[in-house]
Amino acid sequence: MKAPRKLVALFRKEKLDADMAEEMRLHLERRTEENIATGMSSEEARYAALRKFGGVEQIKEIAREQRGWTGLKNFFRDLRSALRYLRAHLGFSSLVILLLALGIGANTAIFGVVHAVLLKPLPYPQSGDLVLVRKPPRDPAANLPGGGDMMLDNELLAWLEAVPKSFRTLAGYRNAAATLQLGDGGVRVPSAAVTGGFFPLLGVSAWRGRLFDTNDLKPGAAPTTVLSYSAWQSHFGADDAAIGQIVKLDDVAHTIIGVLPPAFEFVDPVQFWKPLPLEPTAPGQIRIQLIRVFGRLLPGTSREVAQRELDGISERFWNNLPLTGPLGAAPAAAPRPRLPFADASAQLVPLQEQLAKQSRTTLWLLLGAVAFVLLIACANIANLQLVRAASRKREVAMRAALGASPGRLATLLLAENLLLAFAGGALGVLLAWWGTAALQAWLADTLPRINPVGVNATVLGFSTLLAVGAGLGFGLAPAWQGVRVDLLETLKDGGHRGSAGGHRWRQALVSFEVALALVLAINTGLLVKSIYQVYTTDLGYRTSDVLIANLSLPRRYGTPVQQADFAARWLTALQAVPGVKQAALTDIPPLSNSAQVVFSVGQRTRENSSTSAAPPTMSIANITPDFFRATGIALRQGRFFNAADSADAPAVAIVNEAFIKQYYPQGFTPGAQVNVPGNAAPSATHGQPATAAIVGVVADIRPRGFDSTAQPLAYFPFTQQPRSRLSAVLQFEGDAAALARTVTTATHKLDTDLALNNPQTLEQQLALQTAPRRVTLLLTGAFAATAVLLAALGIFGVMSYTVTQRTQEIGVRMALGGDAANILRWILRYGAYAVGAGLVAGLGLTAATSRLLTTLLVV
Amino acid sequence: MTKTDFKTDLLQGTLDMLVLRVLSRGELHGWGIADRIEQLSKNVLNVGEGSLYPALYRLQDQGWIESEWGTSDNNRKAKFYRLTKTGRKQLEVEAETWDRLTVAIGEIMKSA
Repeated sequence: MKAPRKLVALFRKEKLDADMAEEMRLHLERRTEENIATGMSSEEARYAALRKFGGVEQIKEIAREQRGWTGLKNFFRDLRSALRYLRAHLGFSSLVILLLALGIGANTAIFGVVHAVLLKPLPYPQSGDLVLVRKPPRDPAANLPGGGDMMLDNELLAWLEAVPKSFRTLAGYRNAAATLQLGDGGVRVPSAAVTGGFFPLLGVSAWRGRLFDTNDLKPGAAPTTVLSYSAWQSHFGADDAAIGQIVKLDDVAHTIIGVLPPAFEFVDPVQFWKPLPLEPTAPGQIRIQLIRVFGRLLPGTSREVAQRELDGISERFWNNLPLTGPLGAAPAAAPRPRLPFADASAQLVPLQEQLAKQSRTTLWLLLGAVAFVLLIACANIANLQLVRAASRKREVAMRAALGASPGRLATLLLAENLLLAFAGGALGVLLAWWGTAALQAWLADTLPRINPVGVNATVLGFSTLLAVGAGLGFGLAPAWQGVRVDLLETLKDGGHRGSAGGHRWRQALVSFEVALALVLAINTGLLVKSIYQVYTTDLGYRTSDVLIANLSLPRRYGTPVQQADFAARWLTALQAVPGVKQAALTDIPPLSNSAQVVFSVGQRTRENSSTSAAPPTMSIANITPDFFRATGIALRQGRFFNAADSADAPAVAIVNEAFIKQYYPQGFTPGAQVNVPGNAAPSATHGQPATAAIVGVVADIRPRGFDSTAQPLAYFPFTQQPRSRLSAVLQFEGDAAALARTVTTATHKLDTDLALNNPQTLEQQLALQTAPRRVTLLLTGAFAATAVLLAALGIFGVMSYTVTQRTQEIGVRMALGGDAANILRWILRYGAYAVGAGLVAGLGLTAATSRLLTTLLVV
Repeated sequence: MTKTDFKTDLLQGTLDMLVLRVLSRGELHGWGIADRIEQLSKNVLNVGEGSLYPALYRLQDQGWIESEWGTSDNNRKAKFYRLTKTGRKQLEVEAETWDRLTVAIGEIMKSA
């Protein structure tokens, strides 16, 4: 009943106002006449009537306010007048909006990434139950590929056979590139092999056709493959007839049995999925195949319980493993060879945590940095508002005199600040939209790609919260503080002088800004220093003029003789390419992600392994004679390989200094031996020698870049140990891209089906490796620069405002004989106090944050 | 500013009741009501006459009085206010409450 009338009042405001004005006018008219009748002059009569009536405008305002719905109505009116005010002070409002947009934009963009990577659940059913099961080697010095995330496939087989009660499913995953042969030449495509439990584990089913069943996963089954949706589209035109078609992957015919749904994403952008059969190794052999293992816990099972169960199974597995010593059957008394996995305990890491591992610290770091920028921007806004409030005291006092209650004044300021906040927020989200795209491009290699990064509802909610919080907290409060003054006082003195309280506030804000900017700047400096250290680390090999081209020989080069023959022809072709100064081949090039690690080193091993805690491991690489010359790895003792080290010559090896240090602590002596991997086990029946004579010692290298350390490493001549995996290592002069093209042509002349895997210089690979660090530095640097700029702006604003305000005072001082230098000192002191206090606070804060930062920096 | 607010708050209820009381004798325009209240209260309630109007609008919003533009005795334009049926009931309620309150206050003043 009441509401409709009030609603009507809302829309009939003009009529009601006119009615009211008319009624009051008549009242006053009548009273004036009465007064004239008593003998007053018309002027006197009118004043007397007004006195008796009270403040007309104030009474009207009271009547309007009690009309109901006035809150809302006034608010609209306030919005309008706020808009007018902001338009009239365009410089001020656009500055505030810009500051807000900058801060909110940066925060929204970074938060968008944080949300996608760290907060949003993975897009699999009950993704909280998914874990990565890792077996970090007991000794980190084992330096296995995958950084401890990978484990032996045979151990997974043991787990699966024992059917652990804690898991719904366990599955193995191994990714690799494959050469796809579709008629004309080969292309390298990302592929992965998975065990039967993999797709059920992630809760994904086929989009077309079917996924792997037990028959596909039997060892020796007819090869099958499942396509990703994108591969189905790009290579097969999204044609249903693709199912049942045969494709050649690495020279082997695979039948396409199914297609995955379009939304399905996993860690790597895999296009061709293949079955990964698990087969037990023959007695006496350990075939080292490393895989990643994922598990889905039964709901409600704790990770500790599951881990204990797996460790129990592992213990039985390792104890029952029939192992022989490196030189035939181990004597009963000799200690069992200690494999790095054997004593290790399983570790269960929630999948999301595992995926975000590398980016977690980076992201929190960046979020912290942008938060600082926003805070500094907010301090600037607060400052602007204080200044503005001081200069509009008269206006506010006038409004109050005309009947605006303190509540109304507050609503007006609220409207202004809300407008600013939303304008700034909207512009900020726009910036974030653009920024997110850029961030995604920069961080592409570091971020897990499962959840897409973008501006979504949650992210928008976050920025709205920021906008309102920043706009109101740092806009309204100081504005309100600034106008809340004694009206009479303000009107009397003309509102020219700022209060002492305002000065203190402004000084405090400057100190605050200086402190925050200092923290950011110093921490950026620390980052620069740490990255500089990374870049100046000596890897042990040249990177700028060395080109690497990887090749995986298809099945038709199956025998060692065929492989050796191809290698010789390829090497000759490469040496003839113009611009190539040194050409060599290897199976494991520097900076490669893979490694071959063997666990039997030689006779000396057994003596050492009883005392040394480190497992007797070494990495191996097979090379052609010019490898060390092409990469610039220095020879320390003995000789390089040469043409005389042919297939039928005595077996030879070259080791690095780390090898000598670990296995020949007394130093290298000619005649020392090392096991030839593959030949040591009794089942290896090539009739080849089990050990090789060490003929040279070379300098240590960091095989996988800045983060890796030198490990015992043995090189064998490629002629004596041919491989199907080949990489050309070319020291060159001239243009790398042109050389890459020539090398590809030269290779295709030998065999058109061969697909070279993206030839790159070592320097380019290093740049990719250090990209996350560079991006972090770039972003933090940009944020720090913005922070310093904003702080400088803040100081400038406060100083110039203060000086302008005191122009009169300065004038008086000068007139009284004040010295200009003195006055300058006085002004500088004012600024110096604020900045000095900021510096002291900033240094204190930096001490705290830099300690945090150094724990985050992985150098 | 705050001073006026305080006074209005205190007198608001009383003023409303007085207006209803004055109008219970028949319809009247704004300044007429003001005159009557001044007479009745013997200048004790010395409120600015203007404050009457917000009270009138308030009572009208409550539906206790209604108004109409008309012509006064000496042929002038004026807005006339008149009590509605619910307004009359409200006056009874308020008068009763007022009586009880004054009795109570009187008792307190005597006993204290």
